[in-house]
Amino acid sequence: MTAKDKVGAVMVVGGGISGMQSSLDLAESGFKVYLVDNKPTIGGAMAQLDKTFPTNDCSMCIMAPKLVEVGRHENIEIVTNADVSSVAGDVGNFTVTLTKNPRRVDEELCTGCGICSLKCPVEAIDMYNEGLMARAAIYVDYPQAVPLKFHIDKERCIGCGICEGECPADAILYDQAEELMKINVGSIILSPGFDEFDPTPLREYGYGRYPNVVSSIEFERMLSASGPFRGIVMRPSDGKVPEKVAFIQCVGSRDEHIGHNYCSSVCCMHAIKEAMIAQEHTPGLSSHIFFMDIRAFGKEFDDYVTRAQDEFGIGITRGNRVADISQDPNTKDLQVRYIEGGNIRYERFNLVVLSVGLHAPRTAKDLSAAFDIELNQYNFVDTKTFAPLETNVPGIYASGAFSGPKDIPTTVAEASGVAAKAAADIHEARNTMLSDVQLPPERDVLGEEPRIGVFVCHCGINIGGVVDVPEVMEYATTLPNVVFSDANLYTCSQDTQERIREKVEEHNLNRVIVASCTPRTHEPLFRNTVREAGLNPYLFEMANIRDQCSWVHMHEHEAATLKSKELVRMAVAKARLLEPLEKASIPVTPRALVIGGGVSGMTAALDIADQGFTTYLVEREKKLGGIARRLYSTIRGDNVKAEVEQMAIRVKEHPNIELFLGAEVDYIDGTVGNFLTMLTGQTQVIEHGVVVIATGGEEYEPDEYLYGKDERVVTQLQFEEELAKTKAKNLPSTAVFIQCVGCRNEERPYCSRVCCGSTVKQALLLKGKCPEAQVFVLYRDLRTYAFKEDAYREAAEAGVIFIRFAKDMEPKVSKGRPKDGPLEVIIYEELLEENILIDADRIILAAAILPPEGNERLAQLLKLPLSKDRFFLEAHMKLRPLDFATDGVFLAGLAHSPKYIDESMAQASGAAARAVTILSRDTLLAEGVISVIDADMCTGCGTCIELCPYNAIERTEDDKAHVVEVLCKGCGICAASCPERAIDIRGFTSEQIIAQMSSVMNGGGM
Amino acid sequence: MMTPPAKAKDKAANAAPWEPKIVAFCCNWCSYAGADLAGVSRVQIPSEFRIVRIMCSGRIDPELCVRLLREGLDGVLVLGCHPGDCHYIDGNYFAEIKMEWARHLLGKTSFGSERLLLDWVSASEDQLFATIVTDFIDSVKQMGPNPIDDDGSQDIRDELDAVRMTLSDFRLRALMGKVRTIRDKGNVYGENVKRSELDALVGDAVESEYLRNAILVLAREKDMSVPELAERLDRDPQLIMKHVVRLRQRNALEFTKIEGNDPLYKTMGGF
Repeated sequence: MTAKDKVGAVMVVGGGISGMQSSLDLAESGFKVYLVDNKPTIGGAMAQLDKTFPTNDCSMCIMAPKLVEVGRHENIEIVTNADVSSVAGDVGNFTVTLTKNPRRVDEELCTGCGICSLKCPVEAIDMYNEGLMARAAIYVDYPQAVPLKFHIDKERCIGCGICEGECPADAILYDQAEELMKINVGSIILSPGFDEFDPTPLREYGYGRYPNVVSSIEFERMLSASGPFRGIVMRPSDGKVPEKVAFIQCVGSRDEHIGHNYCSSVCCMHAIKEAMIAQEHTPGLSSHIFFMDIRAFGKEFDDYVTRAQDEFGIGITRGNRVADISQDPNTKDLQVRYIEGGNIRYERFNLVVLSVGLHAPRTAKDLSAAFDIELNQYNFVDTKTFAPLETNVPGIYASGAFSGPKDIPTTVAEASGVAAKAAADIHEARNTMLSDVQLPPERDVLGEEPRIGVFVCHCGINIGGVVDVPEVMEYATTLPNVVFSDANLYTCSQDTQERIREKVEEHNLNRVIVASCTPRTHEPLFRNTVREAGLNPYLFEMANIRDQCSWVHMHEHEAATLKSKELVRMAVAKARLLEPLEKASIPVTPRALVIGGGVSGMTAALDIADQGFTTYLVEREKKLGGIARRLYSTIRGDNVKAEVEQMAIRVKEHPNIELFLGAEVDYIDGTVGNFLTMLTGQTQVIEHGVVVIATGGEEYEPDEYLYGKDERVVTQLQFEEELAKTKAKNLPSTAVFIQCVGCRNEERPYCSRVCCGSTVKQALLLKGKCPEAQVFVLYRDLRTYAFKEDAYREAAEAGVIFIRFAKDMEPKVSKGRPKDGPLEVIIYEELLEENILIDADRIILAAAILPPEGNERLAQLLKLPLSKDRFFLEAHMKLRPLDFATDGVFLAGLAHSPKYIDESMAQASGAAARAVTILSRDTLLAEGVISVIDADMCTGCGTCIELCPYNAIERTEDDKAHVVEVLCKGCGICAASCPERAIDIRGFTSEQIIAQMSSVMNGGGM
Repeated sequence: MMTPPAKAKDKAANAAPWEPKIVAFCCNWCSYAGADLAGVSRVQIPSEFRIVRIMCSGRIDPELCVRLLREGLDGVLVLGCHPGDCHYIDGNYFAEIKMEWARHLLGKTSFGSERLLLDWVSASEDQLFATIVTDFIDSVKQMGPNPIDDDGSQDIRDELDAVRMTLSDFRLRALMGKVRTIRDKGNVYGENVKRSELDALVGDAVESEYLRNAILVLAREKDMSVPELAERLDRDPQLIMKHVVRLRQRNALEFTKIEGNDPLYKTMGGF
């Protein structure tokens, strides 16, 4: 295919957090995106969560801004209610046929007002709330839904015709038919997410029979402040607040009897989070979690577990799966039967939560058939270690839980990663498919007396039913500078946009106010309209008289009308002072600097270079490959040496990569778009627009367990080499692996994530080469998450003996007697409840992964934060895993936290995609709402420079503070803190806020 | 500058039942969204409050809050994201520091700090939003109308003016800006300043600057002597003397004349 046949568009199938992130990264890099979801709204599983671990962030709070951004992005077209029927063509030029199922509501006309839903006489089960409450047959899943368009549930709708009569927008289409759509794209991303495991078939847990046994996702909705129980934990059987709650782990996971041997990876943390939140919501509640292992392998997850135990007193039992649950028929309490030590125990609870596993999506087989992609035995996409994002079909990529159970940050990193891959296929066609909007020139309103137009919205009956809209409209005309006012059935409808444009022209308006709903969802729409009318988009103000007035004062017509008037008056007071805001722009140097030449750095460099951008790759060693050079195999049997060598060759031969070996960053200056860097040993300063940090990690050198004192005690990386290079007959006949050496302790509380998998891999390799060898693994929690669980089972079946030890019951290693005799390992066996002695001729220590020393200096140079474990700290643990608060700097691999090769590569590709969102622009545009410093008033004290969370304020040569406009996000912390009060925020100036306040105080009643 | 509130005039003109005037500053990302959700969920809330949207609770200048109370508003509520949730990383922590200071200073006055409240609401906490607002309205109703315009409230007006001026003061604002950095990261020498030491320093600065501003307010209208000031401010004359000296150093207070044995001072123009 020649470059000109390539289509500059990508299809993303699945609109959860993964699909949203991929779409945004691609749309920001100059590609058209079709975001397809088979549900009526996007948002996926994350929209159902109350909180997220390990920060206990409110899920909707962090996701809603992304939802809104996707919904309004001009390069993203959302196609809901659609299934993929078939695909034709090849990478660069696919034609996808979609079947768009009828919504039975006209998406163009529906304003999302919700009157239909209020009037619908049919009650249906609300699956968004996991069946715990009812909804109407015409509905949206949740109030923040994107697109906010109602949908008729045909299964439940009785066809009474009421909604058609009630809908003021005439949007109901009962006879809407299925529609076939053909869409031409260059590459495809599959991110359909997962489905929960249905625990009904596991009779021993009584789900479906005992009302107080609920699934973890049901419990999530029960915890949610916007859920069925409004955030109060209650028992479904009697509405009582429980005193004791049990969480049972691995329901539908790590269970080969039901064909789900894999570990679902997220449930341990999920359960701990739910237990914490439940206890926060319910004073006196105690919770207990029954684990098999605590798999807290992610960044700062072990700290979270410690908090749960120490601060919240959450009870923990680990070891075996819970045997069964029985119900007291009178109280509906539940008795949990489990094994601890060697004994059977019983405990009574008021409520039991089953931590249900992540299942491949139900649509997996259909997608596999349509796209011709291979699935693994569990119906997840079968990706490879060194191609973690690729399916077997070129041009089709998989992200998120579709390629295996994973948590949100891993998913978000992958989502960016697939964006890089999908973009590389079609980078020649960048910017070819974007809509070209022709806007009229902006009218210069400077010096004009404000001429304000006020548009008051009825919102069907949402506002009009409570507030006297005509009265508010009349009142508006009495306010200073208001020259026109109007009342509309729906101010947001298409025809009203036309009307606003007409009225701006007719009355020569230079400020527009809409009194309707919330600016959080509708301000962008109206700003566009204002811009299309030839005005600067910031000459617009909203009064929220619905969400924050008519809806919360439904029975107080007079007070609500009065309040609406006052809100309009406040808006007018501010609007009179509005000024046109210009967005500053700076040119971008379209080149990248990647620091670190390990697997992550090489991947990032290749993915940026593959999109056509010059990339400088710096490695302090003389060779590429980093710590992966010391690895020989993976748990899946890859030849790491060969793969890394391949990668290094590609890097060296890539025309867009300039390689600096044996060099380090000496000095770095500048900001997003334009950095200047001096490397050691170089004379030339390099200029680049972004930085990717991939500085890797190092192996801890133990001082435990006779390491360094007896050469038979080795680290995992040393044993890796021994296994690869030693003949079978010279390999140890008794090997003891000891886990968690130098980590998960007081000094380094974190988990190094990869050691359990590596140990299982090495144990299997040893058993494979020497079947007679005795192999012991001494562990604290065996963290072979996701499909690595299969290798764990295989090892156990091959005769590897796994013995758990508690944190303060570490094994003891001594030289033994005679001097050259075997090493003695003593370990307390929990089931036998006694010490056992192992004579070992090799002890392999799973030594921690440490952050490299150089991180500190790099962090200082670039003003980046480090976590308390001295890894780099990303902008947001959940949704911005690859970014820093400082724009233009990105993160991947071990520099972020310990992880496997495939995870590092996915992150590195993700960092590349994030970097390209900047490199692909000629210029960067600043926000309109940013801070401005009055240089005459500034005394250069530097307070603001320190306080700015984005490092957006710098010191000028004449010792004044200066805002770097492209970095400023407009939060206003500087303005409220400036000792000289020399700072103001455009769009939220002190004068404007004070005008609003004066308007409140001078009003009549309140 | 704001025009004086209409309430005082209204009160005389008609005896309409008093309704509190309360403003809630809500940040765009969490609390404003929580307020929106209260609407979506049709949670019913008394109507006696007005929301002003800002991007971040960290935008709110503590001086503005006190100014609003001084101008007659009955209550000011600042609602931000929960700790850890801030869209701008940690703006809400700065809001917390600022509101603590403002409340601390208000606590020194007979006006009290109860009319200014900072709290956290997430985008999904519609009910919590309603509860906080309702409780705040109730508590303001309990307190009754802002006494600022009452006859005989000159002391309160003076005190609030002093608080306002204190919150505008460079020294305090600079400290307010630095306190978190120093606490979390150490000072410019890379030393860790002891929490107790820092608190003592800050506490001392607040107390001193408040007293100095209180002196300036009292000496605005009328020439005042040190004993007079000490009596009005209920402090040891020796302490007041020290502050008078400092204020003269700053060219904020000028000596006018001696009456009996007492030199009198007057606040200089511009203060």
